[in-house]
Amino acid sequence: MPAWARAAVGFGGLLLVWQAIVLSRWVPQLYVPGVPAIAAALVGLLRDPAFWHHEALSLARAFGGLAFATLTGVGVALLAARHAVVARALAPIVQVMLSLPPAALVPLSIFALGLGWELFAFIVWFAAFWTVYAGANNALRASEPVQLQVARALGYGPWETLLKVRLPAATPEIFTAIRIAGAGCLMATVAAEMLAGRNGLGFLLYDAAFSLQTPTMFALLVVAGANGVLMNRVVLASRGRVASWHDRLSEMARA
Amino acid sequence: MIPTLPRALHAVAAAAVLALAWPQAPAQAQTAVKIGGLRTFPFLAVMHAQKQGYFKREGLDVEVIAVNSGPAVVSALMGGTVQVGYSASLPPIFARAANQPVRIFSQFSQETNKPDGSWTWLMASERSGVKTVKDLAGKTVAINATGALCELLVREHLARAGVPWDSVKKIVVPFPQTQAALQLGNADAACLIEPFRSNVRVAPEIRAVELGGGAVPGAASPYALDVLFVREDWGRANLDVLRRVNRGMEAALKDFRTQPGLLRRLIAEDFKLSPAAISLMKYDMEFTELRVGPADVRPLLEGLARHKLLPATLRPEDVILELK
Amino acid sequence: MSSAAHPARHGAPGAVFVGGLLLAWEGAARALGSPGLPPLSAVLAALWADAGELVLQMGWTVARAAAGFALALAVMLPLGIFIGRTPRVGQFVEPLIDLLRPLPPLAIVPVAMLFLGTGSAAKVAVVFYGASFPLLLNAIDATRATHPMLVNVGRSIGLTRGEIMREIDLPAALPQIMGGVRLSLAIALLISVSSEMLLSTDGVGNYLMRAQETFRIASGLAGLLVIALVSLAINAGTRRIERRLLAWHHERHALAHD
Repeated sequence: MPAWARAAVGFGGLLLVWQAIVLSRWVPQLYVPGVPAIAAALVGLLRDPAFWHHEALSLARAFGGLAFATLTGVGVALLAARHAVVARALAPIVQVMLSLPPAALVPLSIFALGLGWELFAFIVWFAAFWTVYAGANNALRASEPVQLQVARALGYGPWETLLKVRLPAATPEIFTAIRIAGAGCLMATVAAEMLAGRNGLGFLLYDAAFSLQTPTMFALLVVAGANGVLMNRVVLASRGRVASWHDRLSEMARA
Repeated sequence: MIPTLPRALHAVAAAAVLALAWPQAPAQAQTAVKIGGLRTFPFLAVMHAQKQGYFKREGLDVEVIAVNSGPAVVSALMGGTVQVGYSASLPPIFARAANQPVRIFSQFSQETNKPDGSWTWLMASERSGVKTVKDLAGKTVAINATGALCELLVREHLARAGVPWDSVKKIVVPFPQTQAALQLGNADAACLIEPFRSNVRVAPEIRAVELGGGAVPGAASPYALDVLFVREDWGRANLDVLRRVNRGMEAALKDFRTQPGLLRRLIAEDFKLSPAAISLMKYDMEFTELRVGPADVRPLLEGLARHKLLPATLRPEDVILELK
Repeated sequence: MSSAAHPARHGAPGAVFVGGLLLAWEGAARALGSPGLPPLSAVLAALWADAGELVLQMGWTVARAAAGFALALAVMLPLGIFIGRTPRVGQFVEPLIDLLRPLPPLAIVPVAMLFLGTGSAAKVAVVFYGASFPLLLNAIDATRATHPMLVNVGRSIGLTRGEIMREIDLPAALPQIMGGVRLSLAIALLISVSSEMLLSTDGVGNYLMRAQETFRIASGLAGLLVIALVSLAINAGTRRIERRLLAWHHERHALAHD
């Protein structure tokens, strides 16, 4: 069975479960619409050009923030891998920042940054940076001793070892962190748009909720989920270019 | 200079210097003003004024920015991102009480305490068994936020019925989820505004009972519900701009008064509410004298003081900016 | 020797950096003089004034975060290893995971409220939902990345599939899984706070919202400070457990780095 078909089966299963829950009347249908109502609302959205404008904005914010957070996160992690003092200095901060809800930071951020793109850039970057840094830091610390000995035998200095040996070895785990951070970026974008936005997916969600258009709201959630799939595909595709040797090796040995 | 810069860059740099040094075009007649606020029905008055060009007529280049919470509006105001803020009357009062230098200069709706003139209501579901405010002891009440008119409403009504505030369980639920909370029994009663109130009234599963209305039910005089406010320093330096904003708003409100269906039409367009939902709304907002005087906020301050909600004693004159 | 042998020296740069940031905050806030950004001293004063209530509310938040995390750990760890080891199941399930992952808690909480009410059950459910994904993803990826030679050795000495997963996959995947655990704990705390901000009955998220709405900014920041301190404490505890569990792993690396 081809991969897309398996995905469809999984998704279909989810739809069946949802419809069963709706039909069980655990919660009135007014508040949790059934699959047909949500599908109809979704079609309505997809036909509306204004929707695509909002969707494009949200995706741009999420992807842009993720790219920026990846660059800065991996960069700082490389620095921390080279100079342990940096890692130790950042350790308490990272853990704290991971626990702070972006929603709690929005009013203070509005005060400092205003309501423009700077606000979104900061919130999305904040949501992703710590995850990427923490994952990259964890990955770079865990270098296989064999690899390090080989590097030493080849006469590599610390930076060369870092960039030519440790970083490639760490790449798969770093991409896991990027995958997780990507979802965080989408979430943070939607959250910021719900709290302080006039466009984007989050704004549409807030609007639909306040206009009591529940099927549209759920349709937008489906879109948010689809964005997650898209984000994941993009991250995995990038990973493929960078880390496919690792997968092939594992694949070969499993045969 | 830097000899290694390529020639093209030299040209660009020269052009930039010339452009900056060139005498500026004569100053625009329009003053730029950003108005930020929650997207509620009364805010439509601001948006209508801007769309119809009433602000432009007064020489104001207004940009309307929708923001989704009172604290966010005040933050934007304090940070200078917007010059004028819109919200219900309580958030700027709380901000002022917390030493944030904001001042209310305009109001465009008031609670008049007429029998059917409320903007906020207290409703209970039939299954809760609550028939009067007295029955709320030991029950759960949903409000949309603290520091807001709904909190004051519930406190005032409970106090008048002799029910202690602590005997009632409070949950904070955004308006869109309140109806579900009532229907599913998560809340026995709730504070509501339109259109949520009308939707709850006609919901057959809830069979709602209206317990009362108005944030300050015993108020001796009308008080402000929806207000515009500014940061004090900017406001005092731009009193004329504030007067012009009010004139623009007056033109918009006149439209609403003279064209009865206009507000409902705008609500339908902007909020995409179904005609059925809008036709259920029994109430059109009271649009009033825009300039704010001490009497317009006094009942609110007295109510807040009664329940010890303000950290400092505030006089009405401390909260408003009077435009004579 | 390794700096881990001297915990005080190990933590010193962190403490210095944090201390520097706090001083900078105090200085900047005093210089700005705006009520929009109170200085650290004002925040500490608010913290002291509300200490009792903050401790109580934080207790609720942590309890719910712990419950949701424990549930996620119990379910997702075995599930992740299983999916990592069985490619066919992964192909069905992973697209579903990608679809569900980015749904913002802001949107899930109202739905959870409909099904589970306004109490702790709904919040724990949302925490479980959010904390699951880092655990699941890291378990899957780490299991897949297990050096194939280890699995082959296991197969050649006749271990069953279940035994392979328990005796080989789990220990080999443990370092990366611990990374996922730390992330999941942080997310559990974050979602617990966020869900309380949206569905306010009690907890530190509720405290934050009340402070925000009445413009008691110093109190709001005090709440964030408490969250920060608690998350540091949780992290310190996790690192201790991690050091014990992964002692063999760290030893290998200490040897390599010398």
